[in-house]
Amino acid sequence: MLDDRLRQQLARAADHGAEAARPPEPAAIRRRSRTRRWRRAAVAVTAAGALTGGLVVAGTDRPPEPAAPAARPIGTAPASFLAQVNGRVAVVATASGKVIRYLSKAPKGDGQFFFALSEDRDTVWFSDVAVCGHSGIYRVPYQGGGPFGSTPPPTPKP
Amino acid sequence: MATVSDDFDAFDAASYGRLVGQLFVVLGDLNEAEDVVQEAFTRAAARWSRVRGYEAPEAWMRRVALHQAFTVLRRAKRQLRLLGRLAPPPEAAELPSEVVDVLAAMRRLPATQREVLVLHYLVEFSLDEVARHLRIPGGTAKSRLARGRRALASALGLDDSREDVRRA
Repeated sequence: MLDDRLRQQLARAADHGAEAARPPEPAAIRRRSRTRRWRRAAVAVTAAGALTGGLVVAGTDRPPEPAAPAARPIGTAPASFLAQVNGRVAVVATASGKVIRYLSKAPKGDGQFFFALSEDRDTVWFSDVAVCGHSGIYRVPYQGGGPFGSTPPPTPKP
Repeated sequence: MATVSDDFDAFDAASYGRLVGQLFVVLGDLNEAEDVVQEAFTRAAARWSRVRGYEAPEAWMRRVALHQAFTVLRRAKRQLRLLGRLAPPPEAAELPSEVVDVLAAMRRLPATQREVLVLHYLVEFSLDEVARHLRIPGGTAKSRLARGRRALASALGLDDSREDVRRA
């Protein structure tokens, strides 16, 4: 008896929801699904690229001349590059492959880093994107020596 | 000859409203119910050639939608805390009073009990089927149903005799 009454009341609410539902076009759902698949593939390719190669961003360890942009003779490798080493952001010497200095502490999660060097080459921005758990955007001086750790992420623009 | 895409279209039309209705009871919000069901359909569309071969594709989508609903409920709890400090609550959509009562009563229950109630009373699953669908032990499904049923009956002011509880 009680079961019947509960069933009736729940069914009435569900019917109301079902009647008010506006089914989307199946074509729209398929389109969204395709878009998402492509986006996921693009993210996977980008992440794989960042993982395997690191991101070569630094020309020299010296601060560049303000008037001279980063022009290098073709064929000359940069002196160093940024990479993820043992879960930390590091500056690695191109010639020896050895870590010159670490720029970050060990991460809290198992996130994947993505780096960017500021235009004045003073600051390394990196995002630590974890599937679940912590993630954020951090900033450290490229020359090292500054305090390790995070800064609050910049306020996103609307 | 029917194509895979025709197949999906026919399925979509048949089960969309049904699933939205069920998720509406779990979530208490029509827009969110539609969002989670559409998310389930989007995922199904991505692997439709496999999903259509399942014994009950709708059950697969319901499971995805319920899983998504839990995420929505967790997020809603956080947002509610913030909204409570920032702004007055949004105006409720116009619903019949009996529907409002049911949704309010459901909202007081833990989400785990809500989904068991919906599967048992709306989808008409037996307790074994509920347990299989949610991948939980039979005893857990039984206790969630009994507690949810008792709490819902009490919130709706329905008589809940001992005999009824034993029968569940």
